[in-house]
Amino acid sequence: MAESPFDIVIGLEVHARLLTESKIFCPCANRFGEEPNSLVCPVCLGMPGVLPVLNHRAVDLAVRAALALDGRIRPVSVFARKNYFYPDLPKGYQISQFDRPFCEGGAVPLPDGSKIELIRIHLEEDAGKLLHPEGDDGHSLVDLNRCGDPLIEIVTAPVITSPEEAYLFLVGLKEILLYAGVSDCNMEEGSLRCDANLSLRPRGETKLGTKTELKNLNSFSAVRAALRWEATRQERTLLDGKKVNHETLLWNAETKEASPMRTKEEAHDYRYFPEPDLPPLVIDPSRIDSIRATLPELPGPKRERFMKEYGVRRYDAEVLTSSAELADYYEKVAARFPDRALAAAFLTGTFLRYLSEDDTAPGLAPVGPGALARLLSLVRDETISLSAAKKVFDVLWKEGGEPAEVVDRLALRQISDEGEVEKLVVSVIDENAPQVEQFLGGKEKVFGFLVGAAMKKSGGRANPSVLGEALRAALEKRRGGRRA
Amino acid sequence: MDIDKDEAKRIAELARLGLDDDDAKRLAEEMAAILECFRALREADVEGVLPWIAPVAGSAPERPDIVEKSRAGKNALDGAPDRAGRHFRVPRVIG
Ligand SMILES: [Zn+2]
Repeated sequence: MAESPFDIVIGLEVHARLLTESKIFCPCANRFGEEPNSLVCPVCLGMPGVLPVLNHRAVDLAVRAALALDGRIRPVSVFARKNYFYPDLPKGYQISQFDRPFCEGGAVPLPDGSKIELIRIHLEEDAGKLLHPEGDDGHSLVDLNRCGDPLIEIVTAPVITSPEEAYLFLVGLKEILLYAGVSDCNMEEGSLRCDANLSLRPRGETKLGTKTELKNLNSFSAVRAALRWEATRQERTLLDGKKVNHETLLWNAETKEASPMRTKEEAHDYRYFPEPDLPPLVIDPSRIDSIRATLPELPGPKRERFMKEYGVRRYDAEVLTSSAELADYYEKVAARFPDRALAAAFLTGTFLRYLSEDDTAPGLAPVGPGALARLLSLVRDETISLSAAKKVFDVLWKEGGEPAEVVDRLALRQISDEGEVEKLVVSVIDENAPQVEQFLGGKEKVFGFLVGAAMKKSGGRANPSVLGEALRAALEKRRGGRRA
Repeated sequence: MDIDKDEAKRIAELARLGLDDDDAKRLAEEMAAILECFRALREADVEGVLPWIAPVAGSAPERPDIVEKSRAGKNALDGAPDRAGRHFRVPRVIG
């Protein structure tokens, strides 16, 4: 594709559901997957005369997220009503924050060392969920369980320059929110939702072009795919000499296309005003300090420390710190086992594969860090080969047990004893006379075949370096004997 | 800001209220009169005065994060004009 004459400008709005027990303004449970309309009360049903009361933990978690994202906490912030009529919102307004959000600024670091700046983070309540059943065209079904769940909305500046960068931002943001323990970020359950906007402008131009908004982005890859699609569409539109309309598009993950949302335009007039039922939110500096004191080490600093402290490569450090739990697991193995590179390789390869196959978390893995360290020690002292270690790991994972004992039970102990290897070499030379002749005749490649034959005969247990040396020595001896 | 009949109709539409021409004309006059009262406030010198948000001093009270069950859902469903199982059933707005 020829280089585009346009620059892409992307902004993202991410909603994250906070990990509280109860909703933000009432004591109903903040829980996914319950019977419809079972987690509701007069407050979240929007009955007349009720009053919202702010959830203490929702504020704590919001502040925690803001600190983890390096935002500035506003000492006094104000709740505002966002007014719109829609069946998912029984009050007719959503309690949100408008011109004085609790957090301004902040940033998410990207793997290349750059940063995506945030404009703001605000607290708000979620709306209910609408179903549009087929075969009941004129109607929608409403479940208000989600109505009033505590959300933070994280808004980036329009500074993201490609769909790929948007994707990396979301991965980095999710890591930070998970590390900080503020949200489970489960996209299937709607705990993390993303809307995007995109505009193009002629390369070098500073004024922003007309943007479109993209909704219904149900995964990070959907965000990336939708943004790519929309960038291409806008580019064609502009190159055709037409104008981009300011509109909202709905992404269809199956057809991989977006189409304009059918909605009335005046719905965008939200008539925000300060929420009269809630005094301003005053966040005391001492509260901020005590929340800051409980923040764990975040992915970026942890990555740097892993590279410095354990000498692992950047890529391995990124994989190992992609979740706090995996990073903890690695550190526990590393505390018991000196070969950090081997531990990193085993964790990022075999261990992660088993985790994903069983869809489980490092902390719940059937092989704990102690057992894994003992297993890897057997590799390091050449008791077993790396491939034997993988067999033992499989048994430990599925049946449990102690590494050394499984090694004995499966008779996987590596043959390093020189006398034993010598015997193996002698019998392989005897049994493969034609190949030995070829080798002695100068066909060096046949050496590999002979090593393979010996390894096979040992049931894969021969120590490869001892075997290689012994075989070469025996063959050279024959060659020498012949010359004499 | 002046309120004319069209503005009154726009505001009514945002509030999902149906107005005929006579209503719109009457409401436009009433709203204009209300805004006229506020115009007097503009005379006040508010240089350096913070916006007034709430009638009480101090921060929003906070409650502990504790779940309480409510039977309101069942009652609301029983009282709803239309339902489908445990869902409220409403006229479709978009889609
Ligand atoms: Zn409730």
